[in-house]
Amino acid sequence: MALTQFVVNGLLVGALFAAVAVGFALIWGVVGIINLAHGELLMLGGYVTYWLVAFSGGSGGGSIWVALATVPVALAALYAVGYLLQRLLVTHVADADLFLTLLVTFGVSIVLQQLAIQAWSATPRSVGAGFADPSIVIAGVFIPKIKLIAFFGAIALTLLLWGYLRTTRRGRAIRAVAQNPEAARLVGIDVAHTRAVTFGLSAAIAGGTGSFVAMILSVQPQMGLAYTLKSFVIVVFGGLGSIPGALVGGLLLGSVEELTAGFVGSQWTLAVSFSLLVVLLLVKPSGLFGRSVEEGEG
Amino acid sequence: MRTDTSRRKFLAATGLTGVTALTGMGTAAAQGNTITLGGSMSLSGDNADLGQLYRDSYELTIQRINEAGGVEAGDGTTYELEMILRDDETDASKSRAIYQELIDREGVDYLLGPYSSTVTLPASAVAARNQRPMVEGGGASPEIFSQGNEWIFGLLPTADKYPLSSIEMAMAQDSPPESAALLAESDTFSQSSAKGARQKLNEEGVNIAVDQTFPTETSDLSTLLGRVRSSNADILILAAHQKHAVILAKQMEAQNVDVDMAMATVGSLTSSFKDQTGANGDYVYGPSSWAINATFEDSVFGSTGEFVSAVESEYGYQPDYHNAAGAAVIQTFQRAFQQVSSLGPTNVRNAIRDIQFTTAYGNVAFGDNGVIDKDMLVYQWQPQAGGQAGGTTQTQNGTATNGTQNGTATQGGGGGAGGSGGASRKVIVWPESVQQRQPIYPMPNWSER
Amino acid sequence: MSGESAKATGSRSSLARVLSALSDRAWLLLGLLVAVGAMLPTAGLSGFYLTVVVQMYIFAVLALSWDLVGGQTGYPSFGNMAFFGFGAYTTAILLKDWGVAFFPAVLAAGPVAVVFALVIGLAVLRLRGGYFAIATLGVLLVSVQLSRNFEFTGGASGKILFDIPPENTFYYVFLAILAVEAAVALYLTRTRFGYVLNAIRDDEGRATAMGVNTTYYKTAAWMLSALFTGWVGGAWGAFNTFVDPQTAYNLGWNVELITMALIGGAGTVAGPILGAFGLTLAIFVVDTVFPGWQLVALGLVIIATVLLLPDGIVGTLEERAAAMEYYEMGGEAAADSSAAAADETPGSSDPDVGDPEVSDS
Repeated sequence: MALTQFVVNGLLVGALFAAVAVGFALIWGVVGIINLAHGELLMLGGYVTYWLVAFSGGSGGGSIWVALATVPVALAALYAVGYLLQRLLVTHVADADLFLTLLVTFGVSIVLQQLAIQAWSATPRSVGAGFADPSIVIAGVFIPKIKLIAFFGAIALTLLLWGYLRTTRRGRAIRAVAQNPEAARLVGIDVAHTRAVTFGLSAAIAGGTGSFVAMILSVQPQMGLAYTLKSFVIVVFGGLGSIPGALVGGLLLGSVEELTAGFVGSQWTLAVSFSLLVVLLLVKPSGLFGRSVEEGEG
Repeated sequence: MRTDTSRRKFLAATGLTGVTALTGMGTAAAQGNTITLGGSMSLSGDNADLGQLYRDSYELTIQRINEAGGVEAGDGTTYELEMILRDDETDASKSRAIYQELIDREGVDYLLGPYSSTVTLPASAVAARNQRPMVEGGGASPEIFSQGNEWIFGLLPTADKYPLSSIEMAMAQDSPPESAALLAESDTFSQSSAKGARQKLNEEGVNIAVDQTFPTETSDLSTLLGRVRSSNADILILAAHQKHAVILAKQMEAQNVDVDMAMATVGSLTSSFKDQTGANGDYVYGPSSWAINATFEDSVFGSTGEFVSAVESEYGYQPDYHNAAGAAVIQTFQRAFQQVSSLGPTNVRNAIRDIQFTTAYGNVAFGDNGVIDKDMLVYQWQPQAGGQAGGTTQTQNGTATNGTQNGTATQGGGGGAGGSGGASRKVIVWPESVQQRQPIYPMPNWSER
Repeated sequence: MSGESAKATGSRSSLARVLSALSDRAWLLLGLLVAVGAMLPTAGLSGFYLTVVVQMYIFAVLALSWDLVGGQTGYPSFGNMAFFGFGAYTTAILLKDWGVAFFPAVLAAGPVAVVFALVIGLAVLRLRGGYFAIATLGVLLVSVQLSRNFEFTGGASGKILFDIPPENTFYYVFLAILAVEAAVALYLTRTRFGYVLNAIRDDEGRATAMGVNTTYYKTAAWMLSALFTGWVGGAWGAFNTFVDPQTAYNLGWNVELITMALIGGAGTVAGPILGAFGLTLAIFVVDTVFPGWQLVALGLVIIATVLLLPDGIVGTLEERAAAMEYYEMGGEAAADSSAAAADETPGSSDPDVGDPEVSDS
């Protein structure tokens, strides 16, 4: 029983990790950027939802539908942020060493963090939306409804992105740029624009996930790093540029963390996930899905 | 920073802006006699929300003292107070250099402590080495005061005391708890609190069914709460900060955790806690070193009630014990200056040792280790039936009670929230001598709310 | 890096002449600057200013150590603060729990970090580029978590060390660590060891093909980096009077030290030291003038460094000198731009900070 409960808890948050990591993997795979500011984009998305709900007059327990209605706004807002970030800044290091992208995006992350503190203070905030009867109980396993909504929301975001990349013209262009930017340029693809769109999509999905995080947990200016680091683990696990890999990786990471908290001790959760990051890089650099991280660099 | 000369100019300019802009007190004393208090505070970083409360209190208190003519020191001169407050980003590696800079470059002799134990520790070492007295209202780890440091004075009860009064309260109830769950964040302060709780629970013969530490980064407590639920613990103690207090209150219902008492050492008494948790925040307990409805006399503000209204009118929020402790930090120095025959770090330090006075915060006097002798009160969020109050039991003073009600009203209005949570009030439920209402113990089960 | 320009003959631009003269007399300069540094406390340096200079030394060691693997060998570690933390904890535990005296406790910090480096290095040095960076970041993050959870490290509360030597002792300890490291780095860059490291950076496959045991060399560089980082961490732990996971593995410093090496010029000896001195001072100024905005300023500096100065100040100077060689008849234009370039070097002629102003060959 306990086991099932821990796994369910893990899957419920794991879907959010997965949605964050999908965007992280996309940028890494297509633009060649390790975006250390990815978690900050999630944070911004969370604040979009928080403030919209607060201004509509219900931060203390507003309707869940109002909160859900803010998700598209967060997606759109963060798409714009991501597109501009790539166009104005990241494009200058897109072809540089992967390591330099770590530095630049770290710089972006601390700037965003402190601007958020200046603008909204460090007080943790959360959207008080909820249900009168908050959980579904199946055979003694508790499933909070709001988390279930966030779970499906995050999965939906992930699948939408996957479908977009598979079926649309722009999606095919993105994949072409990921595989070979030079060849893509030769066949007439606007590489700079495509990369900016990719960054925008990645930021949007992070922002949308942030909305759900604001609903089920809380948002705070300093929250980003934890999500960025989890994305690292998931992408290294799932393989670079693989959306199914990131999805499975996210669900697994969530489960591993909750199982650790449940059976071993919650103090070891992060030690376990970060050890996984190092060990996976060493023993299985290709990830379980998709291209190896080594190949992805080129 | 193109050339050396421009850098030197830059540094020189820094010195100037450092004093005038950061103090917030444009007018120097007419006679030019000023005493500078200096310190660092968490103005950004993890604890920026609480750091702001101290800054507000420091500024307000100094402003009031200066408006009333300044400090008439024991040497016969009247001084204006001036403050230099730097930002340590809640980073323990910054505080050392900041305090050293204040002492050497700004010539500060009297130090205001930073917020949080980890930042205070290195700062207190600088104070000791340079023999400058430091009074602080934001570092509660017992380790700060167990180093034999004779230059540090703390206005908060030490961290290990935070959970004690809540446990005492539970033990005094008709059906005292037999087992407890203890969830602690992995930081100095929370670990000290957890240690205090553990010791107390063992003394009282309460079984600790769940004893878990979680990393600061943890944002979801579902699994831990599931363990609490299946352990059937009677009371739940969370040793952590506001972020986790909010999550706890929000997730207890979803995880159907029914305990007789749920308390958080920090962060469950702020208005933003209640705004975000709504009705789920009801019945949650929290400790405070300060009773907002107390009737202590205060030489700067008049009384506790007047201090509360001063903060409310100046900053638009209801003060909590951080504010009161912050004001008491400044007043401790003010008193010490009044008592010494000639100013100087050592004289002032000696005066602080023997000091005894009351402020809005309460009686101020320090033990041999430099810590104020104070116990925690226990507050609880109690839903109000009709919204009309006044029926408080055993309140000391009617005016003070009104202050509390005004405060609650302001807090409901601030942020435009708290609406659906119903009109809940934060009331003192322990110890009995000052309690406003009986604790609602056990907390009602979720199914009955 | 500037070997060609230094050995070039014929008429020289003034910049190239200055650089090569400095480079030829690097040992003398290092000696002089260390001597000046050693005299500063007797000349009245104390209190806050001493703290600032000590902080400059600490970061110079961190940046230079990073550069041994990151700049010279091309393995950009993103987790060097792990060794700093190992050192800090070693000294703290020896001082507090084992009752070891100050100097042996600090001295032990280096070797302990080296042992960790050997074990970790054998694993992570198989990865390249960005993946090496991530793995080292992972090592750092795991270290934070383990130090928080173990009993012997004091858990989240860490170790408090109030009984420590006077400030001047620390000043000389940090100066000595920096001087020794600068000397070692200077020596190595002029020997086969240094050339092999640069060969690994430029093309590891080719270096291996030429019969070089690259694993041996890069592991050695990595351990050397850990040795000095560990020492400075050990001394810092006592200096700070307090070691806890958050501070000892300071994630902010982890990036600052890399930025310093890059600003100054990765792959040189003078660059990381100058970068550390300059940025440390700048951080102190920003902390004082713009409380609440430091991270914005730091973030912008980091971004600007990578975008505008990818080769760092020393690297850019060398390139400019080489370019001027090429246009040796450039006359006034060359002289002007060399003057402008010299101005860009922060603290290059600032005697009271004791820059070991040396350039590699």
